[in-house]
Amino acid sequence: MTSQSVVRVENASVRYNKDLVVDSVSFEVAGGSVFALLGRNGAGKSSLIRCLLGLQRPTTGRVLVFGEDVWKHRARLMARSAYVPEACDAPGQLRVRDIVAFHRSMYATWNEGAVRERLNRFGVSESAAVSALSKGQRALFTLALALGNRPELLVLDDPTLGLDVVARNDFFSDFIGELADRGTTVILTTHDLAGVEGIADRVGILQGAHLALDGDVEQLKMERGQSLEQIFTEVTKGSGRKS
Amino acid sequence: MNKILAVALLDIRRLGFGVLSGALIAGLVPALSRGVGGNVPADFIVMMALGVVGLAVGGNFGTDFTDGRASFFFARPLQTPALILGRCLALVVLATAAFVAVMSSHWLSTSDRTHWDFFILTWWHLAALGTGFSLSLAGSLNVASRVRGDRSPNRLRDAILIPVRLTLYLSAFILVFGLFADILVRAYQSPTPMKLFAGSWVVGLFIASVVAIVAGRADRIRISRFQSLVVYTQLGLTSAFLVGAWTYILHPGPAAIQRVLFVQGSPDGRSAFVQTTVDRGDPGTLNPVFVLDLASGQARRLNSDPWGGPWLSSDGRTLVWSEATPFFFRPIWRLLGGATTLRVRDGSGDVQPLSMPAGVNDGFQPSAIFGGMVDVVQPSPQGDVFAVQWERRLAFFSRSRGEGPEVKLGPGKARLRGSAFIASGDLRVALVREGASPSLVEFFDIDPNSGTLKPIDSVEAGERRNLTRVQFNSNATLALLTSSGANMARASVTLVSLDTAAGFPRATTLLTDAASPRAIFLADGRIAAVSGVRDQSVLKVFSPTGQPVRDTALGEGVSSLDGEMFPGLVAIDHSGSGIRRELVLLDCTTGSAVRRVPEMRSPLGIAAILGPGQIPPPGTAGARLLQSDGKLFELPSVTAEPRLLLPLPKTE
Repeated sequence: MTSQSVVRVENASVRYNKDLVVDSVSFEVAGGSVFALLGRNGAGKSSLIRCLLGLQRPTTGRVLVFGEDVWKHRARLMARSAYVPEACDAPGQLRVRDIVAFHRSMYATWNEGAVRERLNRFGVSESAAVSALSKGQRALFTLALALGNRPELLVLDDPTLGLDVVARNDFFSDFIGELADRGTTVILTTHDLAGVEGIADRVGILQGAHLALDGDVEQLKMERGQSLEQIFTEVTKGSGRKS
Repeated sequence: MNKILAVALLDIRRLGFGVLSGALIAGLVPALSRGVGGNVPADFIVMMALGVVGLAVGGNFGTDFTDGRASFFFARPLQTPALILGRCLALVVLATAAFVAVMSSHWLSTSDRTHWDFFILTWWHLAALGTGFSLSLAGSLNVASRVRGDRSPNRLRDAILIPVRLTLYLSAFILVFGLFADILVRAYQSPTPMKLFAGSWVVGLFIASVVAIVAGRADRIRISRFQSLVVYTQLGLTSAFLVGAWTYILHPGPAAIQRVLFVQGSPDGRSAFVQTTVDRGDPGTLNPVFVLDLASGQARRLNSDPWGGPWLSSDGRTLVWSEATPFFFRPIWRLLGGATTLRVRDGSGDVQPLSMPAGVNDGFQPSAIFGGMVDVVQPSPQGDVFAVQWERRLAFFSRSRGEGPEVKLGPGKARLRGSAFIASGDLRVALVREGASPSLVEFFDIDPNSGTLKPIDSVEAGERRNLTRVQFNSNATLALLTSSGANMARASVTLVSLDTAAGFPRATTLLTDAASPRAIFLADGRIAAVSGVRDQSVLKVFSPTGQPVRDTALGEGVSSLDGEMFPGLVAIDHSGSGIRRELVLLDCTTGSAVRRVPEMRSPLGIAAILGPGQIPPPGTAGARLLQSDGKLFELPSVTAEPRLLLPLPKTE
């Protein structure tokens, strides 16, 4: 692992019974960079993300975060990380302020003021139940929570899925703002290739359970003379969920 | 600690409103039920409320996984133990709140303060809380792991595996619970094993859930795998333990005998049937019967604990007992065509099943479990025909011809008080009838083939409800009726001749007494009886025709007649306050005591109750048995010292 690597995936495989969804995938993510993990539906992106967060143990191989095995040291490493799932995972019947209070107890580096400022900016009422928020508000609320502890590593699993253009722009503008403020390392999966094209430093494309492509975004575009979308289409052509 | 509190607060906020409003409503139930004439106790409502709290909090775990919310906790810097402890803390807080809410509501609605204290809480309430929590946690995790866990369905494989799995589950269920139930019914009729068994599963399910959460985090397949691993490991260990326990506890060898409870010498005088307590099980419940060969000293346990019997033919060759068929398996037993719970051991030593009469309830019912199946089985001397009595009914069963007709004992309900097969092959019976004269004993001969009743005689003999015993002599031509009467002054012994050709009076009252008398036929045809109260007991000897021959005063203390131990020598059990217990051998001809054996009594007295011809002949090994303090001895001769037979001496 290079000294700059925040995340290192070593020959990770994920198998569900006989179904191999990630097959010996290896890559590294340097500190302060934005790594976009792309793939068609069912390509194994979410499984790989769960492995990165220590939620799931790879069937074989291992995942190192900040140089430590994330499965073994999940709680400690999560104190330096944050996660934005594709759908808000907070209990719907609780109020926004209850969820914020829970996070306050979780993180020593919690920045209550910044969170409130973001919620205010997004128009998310602290007294509202999570289930009462719109889909866009829930995504922004989740992002506000994720950024509340000033994470060194931010993992986003298709966070703009189903958002309209305005909400998506809000999401990315705040996200980019945070990146500009701090040297946060970001790993994200998304189908919004246009949105990610402007912010990702590197891209990895999963195809047929393998990491078919791993490289610098600008370099790939220049070498192939194609947009990211064209590259993605070419690499994943004919592949998809097999089961 | 902050993180534990944070988790607890989250659960309290999620469930608090529902739990408290539910508890307030639950507290109204006793008041509402009184309004409609019912009576629901407050502590039952509390137990139900706590069970529901347990279910709700435990279910949160699984709900989080099912809804894809596991990452909310596990993608935060939250240690798994803190998550589990936080939810346990929430359980305690919500349970306390629910209890206060139930009691407050109950108090306000009924103005009844008698239950308004914490002492209403028992371990059962805590058990309800923990059980609800563990079951709900395990169940919801299982559901969560099934909902999205299988990402590679295989219909053909499932079509094959599902029936196989269901069969395995069913077999395991029958094995585990059947063996456990059998152990409970036959060896431990106390709630403690049940509590331990149920408690171990509640704890096991909780541990399985915790292991699944720790090992799986958000991976449903791993949750399912680890939960299954723990549950099946526990099932395997429990099964192995129960098979071992069932084998060990319910199949003791002779070396396990600790105390001898009941002894019956076989009519052939060569063996004895010994009911015991053993070094396992509850001594009040598990009482296996061993057949002791008196010549060799070898003891062999009967196949199963007899629930009734043993009953012997007059020649001692045929033995019948009713078995406690493993009760949980009884429905399966029936499906396989084995409805019997009777076993016959004939002269060859082979043990065969004997079908129950169709009317006997040997099914999966409490009355069948806890006795009351068969009252008496009377084997014929040839060991082919059996008269089976149950619930005031009588039927015959022939091993060669199958079940015969049920005998109509009417009119009205009749109760058999004695029976014996006679030389013609008929069964001679004495019965009393509800609605008839209370002292009337009716004698009949019954044809086992047709079931028809042939009246012989009827005798007024004391009061029916106090007719203590009917004894027949060896060929059933004479009967002794012993009655204690409605009060002691009317106790009596009556000799009845059932052979009109004999020419002596039909019924002769041998004695009336203020105490409860006891009488027996001696081997030479004479009759011996002991009557009289404490310090005034007398041994009375009568001729075979009922004429008084000799009276012998038995001195101070209480004396009772056990039976004829040696030819012409009866065993008298002599005891009393300030008097050392002893067995006295009295010569019926001279009235003199020929032997005194301290601290002993003869089991002949109990065996004689069972009917005619079942008492071993005097002088045989079966008649020379002695009991003392749970031990069984043999008196080799009138002059020899008693020899210990059981329990077997411990070998170092």
